[in-house]
Amino acid sequence: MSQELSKSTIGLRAQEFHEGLKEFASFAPKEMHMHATILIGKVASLATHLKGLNYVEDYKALVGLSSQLGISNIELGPILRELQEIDFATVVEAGSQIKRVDLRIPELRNGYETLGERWTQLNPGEIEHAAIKVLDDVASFPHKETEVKSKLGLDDKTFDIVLAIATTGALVDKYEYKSEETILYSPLTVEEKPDALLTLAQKFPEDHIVSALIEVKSRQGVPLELLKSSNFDFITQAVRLGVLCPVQITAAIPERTFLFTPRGGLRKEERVILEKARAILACVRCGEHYAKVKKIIYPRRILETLRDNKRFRYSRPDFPEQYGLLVTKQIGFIEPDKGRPSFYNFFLYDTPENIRALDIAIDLLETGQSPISKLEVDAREFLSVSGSFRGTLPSRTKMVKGTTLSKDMTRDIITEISKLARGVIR
Amino acid sequence: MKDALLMKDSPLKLRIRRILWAQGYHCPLEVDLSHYENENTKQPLKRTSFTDIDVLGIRFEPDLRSTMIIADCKSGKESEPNRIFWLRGVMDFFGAQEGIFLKSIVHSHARALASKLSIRVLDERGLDILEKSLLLDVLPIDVGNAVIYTKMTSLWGIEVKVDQKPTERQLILKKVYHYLQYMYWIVSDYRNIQTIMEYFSEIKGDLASDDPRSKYLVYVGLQRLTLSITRMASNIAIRDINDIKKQFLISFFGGELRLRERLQIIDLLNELGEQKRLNEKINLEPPYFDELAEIVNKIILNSRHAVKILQHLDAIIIEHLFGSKRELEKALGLMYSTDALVLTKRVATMFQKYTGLDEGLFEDLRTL
Repeated sequence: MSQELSKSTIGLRAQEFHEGLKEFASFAPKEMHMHATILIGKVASLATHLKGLNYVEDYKALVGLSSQLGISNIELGPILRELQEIDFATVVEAGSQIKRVDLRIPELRNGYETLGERWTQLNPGEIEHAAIKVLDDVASFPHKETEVKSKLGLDDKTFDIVLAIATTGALVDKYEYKSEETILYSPLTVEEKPDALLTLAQKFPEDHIVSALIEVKSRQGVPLELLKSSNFDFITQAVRLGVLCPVQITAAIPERTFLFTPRGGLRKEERVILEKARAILACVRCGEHYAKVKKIIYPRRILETLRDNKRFRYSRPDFPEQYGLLVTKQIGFIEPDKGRPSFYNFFLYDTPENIRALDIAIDLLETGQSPISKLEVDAREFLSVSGSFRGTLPSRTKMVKGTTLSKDMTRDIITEISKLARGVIR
Repeated sequence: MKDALLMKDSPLKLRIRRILWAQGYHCPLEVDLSHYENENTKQPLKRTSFTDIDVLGIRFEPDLRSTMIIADCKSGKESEPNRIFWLRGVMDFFGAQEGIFLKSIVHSHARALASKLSIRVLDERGLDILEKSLLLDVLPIDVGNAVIYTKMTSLWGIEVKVDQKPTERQLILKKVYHYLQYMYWIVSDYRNIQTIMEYFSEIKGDLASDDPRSKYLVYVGLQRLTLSITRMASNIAIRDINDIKKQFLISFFGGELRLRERLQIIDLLNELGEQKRLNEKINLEPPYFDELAEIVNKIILNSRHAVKILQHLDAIIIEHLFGSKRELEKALGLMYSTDALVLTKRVATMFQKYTGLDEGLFEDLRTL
């Protein structure tokens, strides 16, 4: 079944499974059935946070970062071995000690492809294949539970396990639509409940909605009027219902709207960062498409300059219109250029939250999405560029989640464990 | 005859090499300029040696701009004006910005001529002063060590006994030595990268990790490859630093026009393959293309460290192939950079992995 999915998609979905389930260290179905997926998910999660660094010398700091990503000290060794296996890292040892971890995490090519390839090599089981497929299916559009089940061709018991794993990780959720049918949807791509999408689906064909979502995802922050795959009527309805998330720049003349795909399942503080990231990218898109002079040619470079220099390199006359939104959101401030009348400089408020928002904006620009762990954990808290430990570990309130297990599944797990206890060799 | 001359000029060469190295220059050995001509269509191209360059120095600035310097060292009675005019010509041919003419004693008329041609003149006394002012006596690594230099020279080339003829495999190896010593210096960097990768994958079975001659050849190959990659990164940084991925693609195939031509050729070959039902698609990009792009990207984004890669490689060769295997931090002192070392290892890993060379050839580097 996974043959239908690209390697890159598999790598990304594996990371989502790990990040969704990382709070549940002792969740039996995960331990029993998701070995390859969780392993690759952990590798992906760590690689995402180490990307851009040349090496890490301070192993303690690496342990600290890993623990925040749901990778225990004991697991870090095997994860590093996997990173070596896929040629993303080399562990340099001096005697029995780790001297340094040299990193080669791809920055220009898509590293998820390599991760997806490795997942396939690890021979994942039927449940893992099905779990990845279900998540990918319902993340693109909500589907009836019965349809998903029949498409996968799984028996009741296996399907229940797949759903238990996905729902426990808050990757898939159930929704009773008009009390008639159980709908499966993914909080990763739906904010709140899927009513809006389903209502929209009554007016427009499903493939129309899916292609619009794919287009927006591939060009996050696309100006409303430049969306190619849809007509104005569809877009206004999608925005009104909340299927597409708009960011408006009201200081621009005329007022402009920039579109983003929805993202659910976030905590309040994570949502704040995501909204800041969207606002930043919308402003850059405004300069890319609507600046009267010197349009932005390289949006990524502009974002990196702001992140690294905490200001834009040159003053411009249109900063108040283009970046006014960032001033109202307390991301930065604008000051007149003393040397050039009618020109302004833009400065970033250098806070960890704003820097993280810029990183997320770069992710959205480049890949259309950002892993949830990027919203939760900042590698800079642990690793300076030279790889040394810096500061204390950030404390984070854990979400209180319960595992989702039916009586039958609980019984099965207990039976399996008792077999092991009796000494059955498998 | 050439060996005797080499011996005679060696002390001067080694001293200037040390002086340049202390100022951040990488000074490759075995640099010879040749001309290739086709005398007979049935014969391969014939090499005619123009001259060898005594010392070539290449330095990259922290923003990847490069400076090249050529030094001519003479201890005999050659005509000074002749050598100075010759040096100016070689500098122009190579695109070197600076030249140094070294002789034990230099006459005043030669000094006046050299200064008109923007060439610096140094005699023995001048060298002494320069060495002192650059504090070379506290340089932690001895890049001008005559014993090491002799060892390096003795390991360069194939070993054929007097009464024997070279074997078929030795002749193939000879081609690689030949390329690195002569052809490399007159070929574009994008071709050099591809040719070095190709040549070393051809000779991988002939190189053994316990053979010092093999090891030295592999490390010189790595040095040349690294030099070409850094130059390519330098060109990309000059052209358009904002879009490294696109610029790398263009540079790797020698420009937009050549890229288009190559794409057309590959398309035609694939069409032919389809007609012949070969079921194999040829890709334009070689297997190491993606990793090379990542390396170039890293060099550009970490340029202030990356410009030290070649000197780190020099230190690794001197200390770990021929020296006392001191830790690199100690051997390089303040010049040491972990980022540069990690980047050096990354280039070596790509070189080893995609040519299929024995991992043991880079064992010294792996543990650093």
